[in-house]
Amino acid sequence: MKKLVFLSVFLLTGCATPVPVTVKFPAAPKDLLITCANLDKVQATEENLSEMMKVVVTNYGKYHECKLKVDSWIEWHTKQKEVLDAVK
Amino acid sequence: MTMWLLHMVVGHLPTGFWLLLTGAGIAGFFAAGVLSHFPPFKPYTLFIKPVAALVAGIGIFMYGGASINDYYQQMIHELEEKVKIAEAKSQTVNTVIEERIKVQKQVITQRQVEYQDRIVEVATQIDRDCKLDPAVPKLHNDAATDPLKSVVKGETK
Repeated sequence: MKKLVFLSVFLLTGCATPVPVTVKFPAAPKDLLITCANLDKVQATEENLSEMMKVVVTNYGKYHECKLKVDSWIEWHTKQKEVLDAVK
Repeated sequence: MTMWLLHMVVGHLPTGFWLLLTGAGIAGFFAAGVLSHFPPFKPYTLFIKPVAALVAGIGIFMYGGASINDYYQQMIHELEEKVKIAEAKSQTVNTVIEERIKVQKQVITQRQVEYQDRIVEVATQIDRDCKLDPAVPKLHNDAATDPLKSVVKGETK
């Protein structure tokens, strides 16, 4: 019986199990991991239009930066997907 | 543990070894057949024949297993190479995007500074002709407030 068990184990070693190869999830650029900034506000007592215009220009800048991040995220996802699909 | 030990020993044998073992088994089997015609060797052939058949059987089985193992090892190796290339490409994509973000952020900042300077240049002119109604900053600030922030706050309360 012992010999039979040994023989079975010996024969079963022929059935090798392949090691699965995994692809790591790619890390995103650090700049993209920062959330978009909140918009600036005008002082409630502000009377000068020029001061308000400065805040508006700053806010436009913040919008453009946020747009840049979103566009970059889309590009990052598209390109990383292409790279990953090539492995499969 | 036994399985692992056996796998360690058997796994390091080359695939050709099992083919040789099969050949040896078959050769032994036929040799035993020939030897059975000679009376002095006949008693040994009764032992040699089943052993040779068993050796040939084990050899065929292990050769099949080793061939499949080689095939999978080759596939794993190819896939590992592909993964290495993909990781390098992925890193390149990140570098390109990071560089572009840096450049475009500078452009945005420069443009902001440029417009802030232009406002300063014409500030006196603008402020002379126009005085803001107190409702304007309030309207602006309300519009600039993240609408989702208040919704989320409302939900959590």
